[in-house]
Amino acid sequence: MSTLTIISTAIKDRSARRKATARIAAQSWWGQAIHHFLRQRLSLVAALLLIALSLVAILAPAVAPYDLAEQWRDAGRMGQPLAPNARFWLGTDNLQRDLLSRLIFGARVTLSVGLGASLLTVIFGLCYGSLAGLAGGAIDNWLMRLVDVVISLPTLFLIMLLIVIFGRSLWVMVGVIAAVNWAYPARVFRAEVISLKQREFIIAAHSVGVSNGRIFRQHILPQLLPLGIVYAGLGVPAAIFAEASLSFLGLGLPAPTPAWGSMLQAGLSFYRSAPLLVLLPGVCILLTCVCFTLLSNGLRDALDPLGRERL
Amino acid sequence: MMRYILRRLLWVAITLGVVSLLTFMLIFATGDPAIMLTPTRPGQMPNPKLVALIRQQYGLDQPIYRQYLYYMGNLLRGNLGDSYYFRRPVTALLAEKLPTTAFMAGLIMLTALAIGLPLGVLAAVRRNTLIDRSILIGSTVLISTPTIFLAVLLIYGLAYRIPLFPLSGVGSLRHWVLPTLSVALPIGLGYALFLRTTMLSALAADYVRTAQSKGLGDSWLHFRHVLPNALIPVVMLASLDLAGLLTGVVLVEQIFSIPGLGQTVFTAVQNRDVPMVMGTVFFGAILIGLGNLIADLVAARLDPRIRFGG
Repeated sequence: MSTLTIISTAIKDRSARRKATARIAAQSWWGQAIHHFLRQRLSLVAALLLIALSLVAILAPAVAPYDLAEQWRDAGRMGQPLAPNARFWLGTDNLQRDLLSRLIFGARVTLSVGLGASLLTVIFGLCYGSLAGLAGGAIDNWLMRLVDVVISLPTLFLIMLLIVIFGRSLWVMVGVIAAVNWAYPARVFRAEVISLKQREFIIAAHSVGVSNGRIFRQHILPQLLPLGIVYAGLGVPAAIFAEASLSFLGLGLPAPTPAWGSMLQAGLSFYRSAPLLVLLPGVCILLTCVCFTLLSNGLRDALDPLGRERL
Repeated sequence: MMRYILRRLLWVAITLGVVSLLTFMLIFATGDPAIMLTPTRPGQMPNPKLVALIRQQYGLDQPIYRQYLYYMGNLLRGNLGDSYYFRRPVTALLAEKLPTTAFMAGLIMLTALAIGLPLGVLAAVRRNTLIDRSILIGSTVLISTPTIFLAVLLIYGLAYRIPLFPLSGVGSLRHWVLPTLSVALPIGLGYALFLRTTMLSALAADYVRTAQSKGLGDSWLHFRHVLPNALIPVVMLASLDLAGLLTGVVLVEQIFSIPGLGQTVFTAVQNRDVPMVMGTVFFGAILIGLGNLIADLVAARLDPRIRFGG
């Protein structure tokens, strides 16, 4: 056997081994989840659309043709929205502002409210639920009674009341939506923690003297994350709806901030003369919410190994 | 059973206690109630003498814990205080507006069930066919439609373009069609999705295979054996929703100018009328508490496997 052959065999061997390693890496838990997610076409399309939308939202000042508040008085009279034309691709609103630019900046606001409120809800629910589930006993009992109280409050009225008190701003809105919605995820995460606590690997960790904090961080939290991701995705439409409802009730973000909900509300009086003013923000909300629902469904199937086997 | 109900009612009462403390604090967070209660002309400062008189009359000069006790005493006697804006007792306003809203909530729930249940059964029985797919897609889209947007679409299509129904207001039966549909469609299709899931899991049960192996016909099997089991979670969900609907029709009442509870609360919020909003929150909490209890009792009635823990 010549030296060359030996070297080439070694190289082949190494690349084969690397390939095998790669295959094992693809079989890791997250690798498997990504693999399964990529196989679901509908969720994949939803994810791509949402990524595109987020990019548009982040790059809004560069993408939008005009400023969000600039009123083009030379283009037409106040209160008479223009139809789509070469200068304003989607026409103007009743105050002669460019509709396309406002929709693009609106994506920023609406996505911030949706994602912000949903993430805050899930994070708070996760902490609260895990605390109750880990503590157990009387503390758990009392913590969950508070959850019962919060759940039996009429949500929309409470949001209205809180906004009247704390004023209209993006952070108040995000905080208030999270403040009334955290109770459901808290229940779910508590149940999950309690069922995890009784599993063998946790008991084993306890028996070898791993501290409670480390057990939570290393063994329980990673198990809760998939559920948290799915919940956060499903919470986004709810938060976007809340923004739309609040805007409709005159408790939305103050003008001229263009959230899709407040644009929908502002267009309501013009639904006969300029249906686009209502239609476009409405369709934007609709598509975004459909995408988040499809994405969460896809993630739920991909992140749940049992669900995967069923497919 | 009786003990269970009493225990649950006790929890409703405790919940209301917490809610009352919360709302009491919120009233004080919003500004001096005495000034808010004083009638003033727009743009003018309230008369200080009148404010002092009202402060005394409503007991607002007392220490805060006495005021809370006073407030609680009034609550127990069914007095939710006076509305700042309407200048009438909140309870009287609630009693006046509730019938319209309750009627509407009932109508919405019936319509939602009438739409959702047949579609859910259809989707489950014809699983993975074109019908199933269209129901799935239709419900995903409708669930993702904001109520206001759906309402505007319905108004534009069925009241403006093709004038089948009136734009707004109350009066004839036709006035109720659009407001009911704009809330009932998403809820109903949500039920359809849920019933589809519960039906499919009920169809996977062992007794279904046994029944099929005995040669039981499909339709008899579906309606006599599978549907009752699959319906229990849906009925529970619906009875939970009903209490929420009573307070949740604010938006449609506003869009269609229906003089109900929602519209009153809307006016109250616009005018920072905290006692009115708070009274409604309190009232809503009572309804939801009782609704949850009824939902559990209904579930126990339908499903003999459910037992009440002591």
